[in-house]
Parts: sequence; structure tokens; C-alpha cells
Amino acid sequence: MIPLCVHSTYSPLGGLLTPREICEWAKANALETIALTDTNGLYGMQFFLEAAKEYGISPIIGSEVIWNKRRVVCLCTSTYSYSKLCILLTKVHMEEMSQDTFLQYLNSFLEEGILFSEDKGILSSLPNEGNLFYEVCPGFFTQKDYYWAHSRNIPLIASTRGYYLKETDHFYYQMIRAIDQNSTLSSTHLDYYNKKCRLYSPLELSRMFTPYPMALKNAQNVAKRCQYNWYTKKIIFPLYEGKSEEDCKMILHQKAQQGLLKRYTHKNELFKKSQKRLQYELSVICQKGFSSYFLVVEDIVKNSPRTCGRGSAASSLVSYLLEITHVDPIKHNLFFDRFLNPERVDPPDIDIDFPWDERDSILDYVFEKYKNHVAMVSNHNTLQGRSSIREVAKVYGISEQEINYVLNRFPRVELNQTWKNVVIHAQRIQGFFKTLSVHPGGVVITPNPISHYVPLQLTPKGLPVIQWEKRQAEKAGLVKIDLLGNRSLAVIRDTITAVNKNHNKCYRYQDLDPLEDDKTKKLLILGQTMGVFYIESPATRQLLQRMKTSEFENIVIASSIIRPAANQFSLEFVQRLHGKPFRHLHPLLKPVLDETYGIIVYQEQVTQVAMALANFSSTEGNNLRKVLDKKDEKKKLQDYKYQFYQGAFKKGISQNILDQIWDMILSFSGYSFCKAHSASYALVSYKSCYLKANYPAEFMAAVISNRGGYYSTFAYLDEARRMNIKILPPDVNKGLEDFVGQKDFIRTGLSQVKGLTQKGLQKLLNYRPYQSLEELLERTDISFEDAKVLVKSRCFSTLKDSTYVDQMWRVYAFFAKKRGHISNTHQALLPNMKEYNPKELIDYELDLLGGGVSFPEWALYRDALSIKGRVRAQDLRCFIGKEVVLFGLYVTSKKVRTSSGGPMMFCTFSDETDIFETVFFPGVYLSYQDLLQMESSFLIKGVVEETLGSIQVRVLKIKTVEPLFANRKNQQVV
Amino acid sequence: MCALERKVFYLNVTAFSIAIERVLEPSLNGRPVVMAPVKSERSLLWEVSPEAKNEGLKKGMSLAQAKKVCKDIIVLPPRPDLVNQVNRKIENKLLSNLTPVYEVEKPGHAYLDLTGLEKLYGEKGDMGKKILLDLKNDFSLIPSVGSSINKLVSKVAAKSKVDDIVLIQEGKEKQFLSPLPVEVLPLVRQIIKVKKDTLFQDLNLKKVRDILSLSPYALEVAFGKTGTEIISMAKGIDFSPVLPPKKEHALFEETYLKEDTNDLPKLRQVLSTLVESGLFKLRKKGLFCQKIEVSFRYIDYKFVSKEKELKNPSQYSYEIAPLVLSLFYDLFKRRTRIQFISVNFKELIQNEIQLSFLDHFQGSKEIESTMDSIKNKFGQRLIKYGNEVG
Repeated sequence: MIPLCVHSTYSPLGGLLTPREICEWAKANALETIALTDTNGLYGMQFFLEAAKEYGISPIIGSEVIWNKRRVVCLCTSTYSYSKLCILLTKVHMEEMSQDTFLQYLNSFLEEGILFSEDKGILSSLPNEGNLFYEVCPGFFTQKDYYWAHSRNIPLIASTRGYYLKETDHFYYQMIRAIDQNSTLSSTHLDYYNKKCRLYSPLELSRMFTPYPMALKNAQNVAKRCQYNWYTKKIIFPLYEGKSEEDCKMILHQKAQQGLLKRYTHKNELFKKSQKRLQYELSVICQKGFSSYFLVVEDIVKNSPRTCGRGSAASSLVSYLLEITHVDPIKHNLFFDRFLNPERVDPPDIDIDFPWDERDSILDYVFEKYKNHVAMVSNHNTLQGRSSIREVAKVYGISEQEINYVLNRFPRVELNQTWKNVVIHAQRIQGFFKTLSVHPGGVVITPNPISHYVPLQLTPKGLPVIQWEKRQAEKAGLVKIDLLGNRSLAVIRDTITAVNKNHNKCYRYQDLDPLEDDKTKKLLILGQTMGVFYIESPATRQLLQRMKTSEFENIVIASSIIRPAANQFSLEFVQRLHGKPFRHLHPLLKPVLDETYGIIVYQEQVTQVAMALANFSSTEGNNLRKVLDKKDEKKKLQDYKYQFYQGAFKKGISQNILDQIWDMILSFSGYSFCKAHSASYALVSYKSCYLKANYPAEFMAAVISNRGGYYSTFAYLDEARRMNIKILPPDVNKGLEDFVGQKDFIRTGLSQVKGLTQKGLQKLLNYRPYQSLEELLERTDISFEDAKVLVKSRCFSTLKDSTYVDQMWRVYAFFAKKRGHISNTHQALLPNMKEYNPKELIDYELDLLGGGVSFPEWALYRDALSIKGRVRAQDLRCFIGKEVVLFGLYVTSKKVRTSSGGPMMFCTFSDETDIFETVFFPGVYLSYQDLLQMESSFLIKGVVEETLGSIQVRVLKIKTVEPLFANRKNQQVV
Repeated sequence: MCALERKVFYLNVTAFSIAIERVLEPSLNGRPVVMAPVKSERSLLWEVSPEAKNEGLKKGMSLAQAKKVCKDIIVLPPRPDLVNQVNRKIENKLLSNLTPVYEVEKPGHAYLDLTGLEKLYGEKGDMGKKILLDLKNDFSLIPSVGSSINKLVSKVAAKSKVDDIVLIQEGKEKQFLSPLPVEVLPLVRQIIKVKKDTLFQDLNLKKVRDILSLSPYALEVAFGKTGTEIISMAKGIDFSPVLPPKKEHALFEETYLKEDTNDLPKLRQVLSTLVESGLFKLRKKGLFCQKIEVSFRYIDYKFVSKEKELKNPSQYSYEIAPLVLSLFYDLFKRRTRIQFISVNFKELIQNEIQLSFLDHFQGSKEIESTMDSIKNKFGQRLIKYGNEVG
């Protein structure tokens, strides 16, 4: 018998077998076909199809549909019934339905699909025309049911509801149900399930269904009827304004020509090269039928004047001419085949960055224009690592505090027996699909309503999302467009607005051409790029300091070479950049790696190396590049390694050389970038850096206001102070909602005041200016709590006609009158209290503004700063090779592992003079990891080391330091 | 004839539960001791000795953190039964013998009204010494004692620890309170800790004298209607009487689980055992209860409680057990394990129930009555309902 109701791990927290395991089991039991019927979805359909193909099994597509406690199982026999199932599942997730409507959709499915159930109400309401069956399932089916079905001529069908393989897995089934229901093991509801619901061998099944031979026979027949070729290679493109592909080709040609004249104003060598390149690209695009896709993307992009087309699309001249991307691929020698080539079968993937606060309006435009033809791509949230342990621990009833304690130290924490059980159980359910969330920016647009292709659900914001994540969407031929939010584009936008206002300029984003600006170059060479898009991390800043170059091509390399596994290569690259002689590992690599000094830096170079050395085709090379990105494709990577080595051996390349090259290739595991992507981002980095160099106050204010940078607000404020910018506190008359920069000062935004409500803030801004505190309270009608918070954060400084305590008394008097406790406010009758003491004022500022604004935080550590012999960060270069003691305020850190697996940490600190980098090697890190977790301030003893011009302190010891007014009894744990 | 000067005393044994342990184990004296459930380092401190407090430890701190702050602390598991036992003995042997007018605030802390008892005990100083010595001699506990004309000032005096016995003369209450932090006043503590109001901090009112210096206008601005009450407190005025103890008409059945659990069948079993044990006692005493309260504590120390009135007073399982279970289900909304459960039979009365002619549960009553006979003869553990054994 063929199991026709089988649940995989893609029944959300409802099945224990992956689609692959199901197919493997089917193969082992000599089954030619098997169904996958996950609950209320087709979440794992593409993975099932892939695994079935691999194991030579014919897949049956279906779903168990549960709506309002009514349960049916639907199996598809054709694309028509498949689309009806997708529509049904979409309605179940997205709409309130009446029972009649539900029956209508079932009816519609039944036109070609197969349906079985034990719900008598549903079965008696549907037409019985050969597609309807009564489900015979052990543990559920009784003699009474038999008579009922018989009396209505509804044929029986054998089914076992396979959730797992072994009986002992019942415990894990209970566990995942408990996680799904937020319950304990003993109080979990196990609906539509009993302990017999597992996969049985054909022999076991035939014994089980002996009393009902017709049920078995019907199952066989239905399995045959559900055989269909689900493997389509068709790519599903969006329609551009309802036009045919032929029309789209013509429009694309026209737009590209117009773009050519606009982008290449001078008929120089580049213009001539671009003509030839354009012809080639258009021929590839048109041959593949991608014209409408480009036009759809161009239509979306033109809604914002500031975008950044990223990814491999930036290597396309057509993209450049349509202003989807902004890096000239001819000038920067970008490889079109990385994006598209005649051999590749997978669809193009264009990613566009918009200013983060404009992205929602772009999505609104897309959803308004394409209506029910568009949806977001999903992410599949699965139980992984710590989340898996946390969920199991909750089922066990362990308290939140204990869970956090263990997870913060895991795996280096002693576990009792309960915790050991938790970990074992958590490992068993790792990777199980839990819920959908939304991909950050992926949208899919289809020519027909999208619910015909894949079931949809709703995001919390009310947008439709497909049940597949990006890999499955790609396997299904759906073409994704990524519309992403980028904070730095907003930073550049806001800086330009402020600069134009403050300095009477007329800058536009597209006109900024910073490549020759000296101030910009200087910042890049010194690595003073905090706040600058994409090149502000400590590792990148150190690399820039070592590189000592501001050439655009080198910045592109720098942003691409910073990867976790590529440290050794980045040092080698810098040495070669500065003239260290080198030879390519093999002469065949020269044309590929010459521009990057013999080192593989870009993704497409992996493809080109495989093609050059091992005769990979362009598609194979591209697939190798893709497999490196994916953690779950180890087997495929091994296969490619074998192919690479075999191909290279044939060319007489030695094992030793190949090992070195393969090591370089492996450094692309995890994440990596293509040149076009890095070039696109480097252009934004340059513009960003230009603004920082020339208009630092406006720039740093915009960085802080747009949040989301690498560092904290207060780290950026310290950077601003180092650039001689004054930081002013928030003010009811002068400040705005966000931080504002002008010439040589930054005014703190009112939104920084913790506890100030949005309503209160808006009222403040609406009724300015204010001559007195009382006038403000009267006119704005802000709440008592808002008023108090404004006093304590000293927002009334410019109205300062009394002490802060006095201002507070006046606020209390105002509201006492409002509440009717007093009839009038008499300022003269208020007591003359002492002002808050300095500690209280500091505490209020730290508490309400999140950190020091009117003072730099290092100023609280007078004792530490005045220690004899302490070295200042700006002087470290004078102490290379020597042991020093420094004061350091924590800025940021990154924990990594050595090659032997030991934990270590790179930590950035700052003092009153500069920011500096430190490294904690494993022994030292383990001694101080608890202290470092506090992210506090320390005295640091270490040795100053220099590598190719960048300075770092190798830490030997640290000690916490106390700020002014520290209360010894209440001090933090040390 | 002049009115008698009130003589109110406050007896304060600091860290009472730890003080008891120190009596049993003198080697703990002078060392930093804390009380916390020792099952895991994630526990919170229930009590800290003065030495531990000086090291920076305080109630509510996690045990793990406490061990880092002070590596030499000694951790003792809580023994609430012992504390209650000692407290009852102090009440019965000491307090009630000194005066019928005493009020236990919490274990180790009590008010005594010794007004008019000078002929028995001497003047205030002698009274204070007697209390101190009696507690020391009979229980080996050393309290601090405060005395004044009212409860408020007596308590503040005892807690000030200026001396073992702090006597505030009549008329000197304001002078005594003036330099002290505002938090010594109960209403202020309530405003700060319970209502989390920052008003005293906002208005820079740090000492009691700051409140005393406020004009009536300023008092209204700051405190509104409660200004009068606060200023009275600041002046040390308190007319509240020392309330003699009320007989508690309740029976508590409670248990710490041998193993924390969230398993429903196990929890139901524990509840059944508590219910049967309590009802057996009630029936033995001929008492009926009118209200049931179910409480329990999760392992993260969250404590929940719910009570309900019975339609009719009862002492029978078939009426009370379902109610207890229903209250438990209402409360048990989290998955976190439970460590302590309590069933409280409240508002106990002697009641002669008019038997109903149509009483369908007469059989159940007879069963319970028979079971009681067996339990009385052979012990409670010999016979149980099925749901008591799981």
C-alpha cells in the first residue's frame, strides 16, 4: 500500500521526518511513489520533489487541510487541482470563511483532485463522483464508520497518517506538539493522532488492512491517479504592464539606448566598448525572455532618487543604463557572465537598496500596482541550536532565568541530568520548521494571481507571503526581486539636505563624485571611517590603515576581502599591494587573478578559476560558487572538490598547488561578494566618506539619527568629539526630533530622551517657541510624566531661569493646580530647595539620555585617567613592542575562534584621545570573559603590536574601574 | 488627672531566620550568611546577615552574583517551618506574658503596648531591658528595641540601631526623626517602593526635616491630599493602636515538592493529598470551611494565589476537591515548574448542617466518615483516594 497521508518536518512542529528521510524510507521499502501531505501548507514541496528525484521516487503532492477543527486530506492529480489546492490553503490562512465558503473551495478542488476524510459532515456535503473517499485509519476507524460510508456509497481508502517511523518517537512528537502549543508534555492536545500514526512497511500495512481489502485497493488506484510530472524548468516572469515579451524587448532596447546617451556623454573609448557590450547583453537577455523582468525592476527603482543596485546585477550594462545600478561596468571591468550567461538556467536576481525609511512606500507601490500578483518571499524559522534548547527547556518547566544563565555559557557550563536530557532532546528536533517569517526584501511577481502557484499567508503587517523561502522559490522558477532598506542611503540623503540648507548648496545624490577629493582620500588612508557605509568595522578600518591607499579599485577589494575565513589572505594581499613580489600559483590563473594580486577575492573568480584550471563550464563554476554559500550542501561540495581536482590533474597541476587553491576557494564558505556588489557598495562608501570628510557635523548627526550603524550612538558621539564637534543637549526650543548637525556642533534629538512619549514630543515641536516653562506646559498640554522627564534631562536649559529642582517644583505646582489640589500657582511660595547634587545630575543624564551627552563618558573616570604612567591611545605608535597600561571605554567587540577552536576576542576601546583595537587571545579571554560581558570601562595592560602599519594591543590583563560617585556597596559584580 | 503616657515598644530581630540558625549553630556568628534555596545558583537571596549586607549583598540578589561579590558567604537553605515555630514560641512564651496587647508584624518583629504597666516592669528603660533580656535568656536572640509613645517612632527607633535600646522621650519625636532619611516614614516607603513614585527624588526631599520645612502650600503641591498625613508622620504623630492578635480561623496545608515539576498528573496528586489531609483535620475538629484558597510558587519565585467562597460551608472532598482543582487550573497558566503548593481552608466555623432529604451525596459523606475512622485508628497514610496516589 502507498502511504497517502504523510507528514514531514514541514508540518509546522507536527512531523519528525524530513522530506529526504521520507523518500529514503520509501526507497528502502521498495515503494515507487509516496505522498507528502503536510498540514495546511506546501512548505517543503520543492525539497520533497528534489529528494524524490534523487531517490527515484514519484512524488504525490497534497496537503492535510484543517480549518475550524474540520480535517480533510487533498491530493493533486494535475496542475489544475494543484492551483485549486493553493487557493484553498491561501483562503484557510488569510480569510475568515463561513462553512459554506469552505465547502465551495473543497468542491472546486474536487473537480480534479482527490479528497479523503473521516469528517462525516464534510463528506456528506460534497459530491461523490469518484474523487471522494472515507479515510480508514487505525485507531480512528470503527465498524459504525464502515456502515455509515457504505450507506452513502462513499468508498474507503486506507491511510495511516505517518508522523514518524518508530514507536519510540512518540515522545518527540509529543515534545514538538508541546512546543507548538506552549504547553507541558502532560497537557498537550494531540488531535487527529494516536500512537499508531506512523509509517508502516508494506507487509505491516497489508496485515493491518486485511478486514478492508477495498480500502487498500482504492489507495493503490488513487496513488496511480496522482502520478504527475511536477518537474518544470519554466521560469515564471512578471508581466510588464500587460505587454507581451516581444513588446518588452523593443521597450528594453529603446530605454537602453536612451540610457547610453545619458550615461556616456562623451563619445570616448568607453562609449565604443559599451556599444558592443550592450548588443551582447541585450541578445542574452532577450534570448532568455528576461526583458519584462528588467522593465519591472526599472519601474520600481524610478520611484526613489537614491538607490543602490547591489549584487551581481551591477555587472550588467543594461542595469546601469536603466539606472537600476550606478557603477559603470565597462570602466570597472565587471564580469557580465556572473550575472547572466547563455548557459545558465536559473533566473536573474536583482537586489535594490532603498533608504530604509522609504522602503515601505516602495513596497506599497509594488503591492498597489500588482495587487494579487505579488507577494513577499518567506523565511522559514526553524528550531536551531540555542532556540531548540530553549524551547525544550520551557516544556520541561525550567525557569527563564535558569535558561538564560545556561545558554549564555553553553557549552561551557556544567549540566545536571535534567539539562542533559534537554540537550539530547533538543538535538533530535534541530532544524524542524516552526513558523514563517518574512524575507527582508524579497518579492515575487507572477503573470497570473500568485495564489495559483503557491499558497500564501499574511505577515503581521498584513502583506501576503508565499509559503516557500528563497531556495524553494527559485527551484519553482519564481523570480525574486529584493527590495531592501539601507540606512546609509538615508544618512547620505539627510546629510545632503542639511548641507544644502546650512551651507547654501544644491547637492544631489547622483551628482556626488568624490573620487578625487583629498579630504576623503585622507580619511580612507587613515582608516577614520567610523560611520562610513560598509567600511567602518574595526577589521575594515585596520585593513584600510594597512593598505594606505584610497584608489577606488582597492577599496572595492578591501570591502570584499574582509570575511571570517580570509584573514590570512587579507594580510598577504596588503603585502603584495605594497610591492611584495609574488607568483601566481599557476600561469593559468594570471588572467583571472592579476587585478587582485593573485588572490581570489571575488565570487566570480571562484567560477573563473574552476573554469580555467579544471575545465568547469560556466554553469558548473557558478554552482560551485553557490554551494559554498550553503552550510547544508556538504556532500555537493565534496563532489565538486573531486571534480575540480580530477579536472586539474588532467592539466598536470600538482596536488600541492591544488590544495592551496582549494583553501582559497573554501574561504568563500559562509558569505562572500562578487566584484559588482562590492563596487556598488564602494561607490556608496565613497559618497558617504566624502560627506564625513567635508561636512562632519551634518554627517555624524545623520548617522546617529538613522541608527543601525556598526557602533552605538555614544561611540559615534565620541567620534564626533574627536572631530572637534561640540555635542549639545536636547532643548525644547532648539532641538528637533532627531540629532541635528550644523557646522561645528550636533544638537541631541528629543527622541533620545527616554520616557518622552511620541505624543508629547510632537506637541513640543508643534507649539514652539517657548519663553517660559509655564508657557510650554500651558500651550502644549503635555503630560506630567513628559514634563518631569524634560526637566531631568535638562531640556529646559535655554529657559534656565532657576535651578533644575526649582523647575521641577514649578512642574509639580502646575499639575497640582490642574488636579485641583491648589487654586493658583505662586512661584514665590515654592520652597527654596538645594539643587540636585552632581551625582544625581549625572545619573539622570545617563539614565534618560542613555549615556553622557553634556560630558564624554570617559570624564567620569578621573582616577583611572590620572594613573601615573598611563599611556594615551593617540600615543600608542610610540610604544610599539612595549608593555603599556591604558584606560579603555568599551566600544564594540567580536568573538571568534582560533584555528584550533579556542575562543578569542577582538575588542575596540576608546579613551579621551582616540579609539584603539585590542586582541584577547584564548588564555586571556577565558580569564576575563565575564568581565568583558559587562561592556564596561577598564584599565588594560598589554603589549603594543604593529602589523603593516596598523596598531593593536595584545592584552595581558584587565581590571574594571569605577566611575565618579560609585557606591562601593552597590557596585556591579566583578 | 493626666492621661497615661503611652509606652509602645518595637522588638526588632534583624535577619530573624539567620539569627535562629546562629542560635543553633554558633559558629555562624560574625560571618557573612545568606539564606537562599540551595538547589541552584539561579536562586535569589531570601535573607542576608548584617555582615553580608556590609559586603554589598542584599535581599533579592541572585545567589550566583552574591557568591561573586563575597566569596566567603555561607549559604543556608530556608526553613520557614522552623521560623514559624520559633515565632509562635516567642509569641506564646514572651510576648503574651508581657502584655495582652501585642501585635506581631512579621516573624521576629512585634509591637508591645506596655502602657500602665510601670508597677510591674518599672520605667521605660527597665521595660526595654526586660524585653531584651527575656529574649536573650529564653531564646538566645538579641533584638534591638525601640520605644516611644507610638508605633511609628518606636519602630524607627528600633531600626535606627543607635543602641540596643533606643528610648524616645515624649515630645522629642520630631527632633528624633528630623535628620533621618525620608524612607523611615511608612507612607513614604509605600510611595517609593510600592507605587514606584519618584516624587521625593524629584523634589529633592531627602531627609525628614526637608518635609518638615515645607509650607502648607508646598505640601499641597507635592503631596496633594496626602500632605496632611505625611506631615503628621514627619512630626512623629501616630495614633494607631497596637492591635492584639486575632484568632486565625484557617487551616493551612502546604508542601514543598520533593522535585519541582510541571507535570499535571503529579500536581493533581499533590493537591489531592493536601485536600484530604486538611479535610481530615477539619472533620476531626468538627469544623467546616467557607472559603478555599489555592496558592503555589514557581521555581522562579513567582507566587500566585486565588480564593473562592463555597456555596455552603463544607468539610467534604466531593464538594471541595473539584473547587480546589478548578482554582488550580485557573492559576496554572505557565509551564514553569512549581516548587511549593498550599491549600488554605479559610473562614472556619462550627456548623450544624441541616441534612437534605434529597442529598445525592449522602453516600460520599459516609465513605469519607468511614475513611476518617480508619485514619484515626491506623494513621492517615493507611487509606487514600486513588487520585492521591496518582
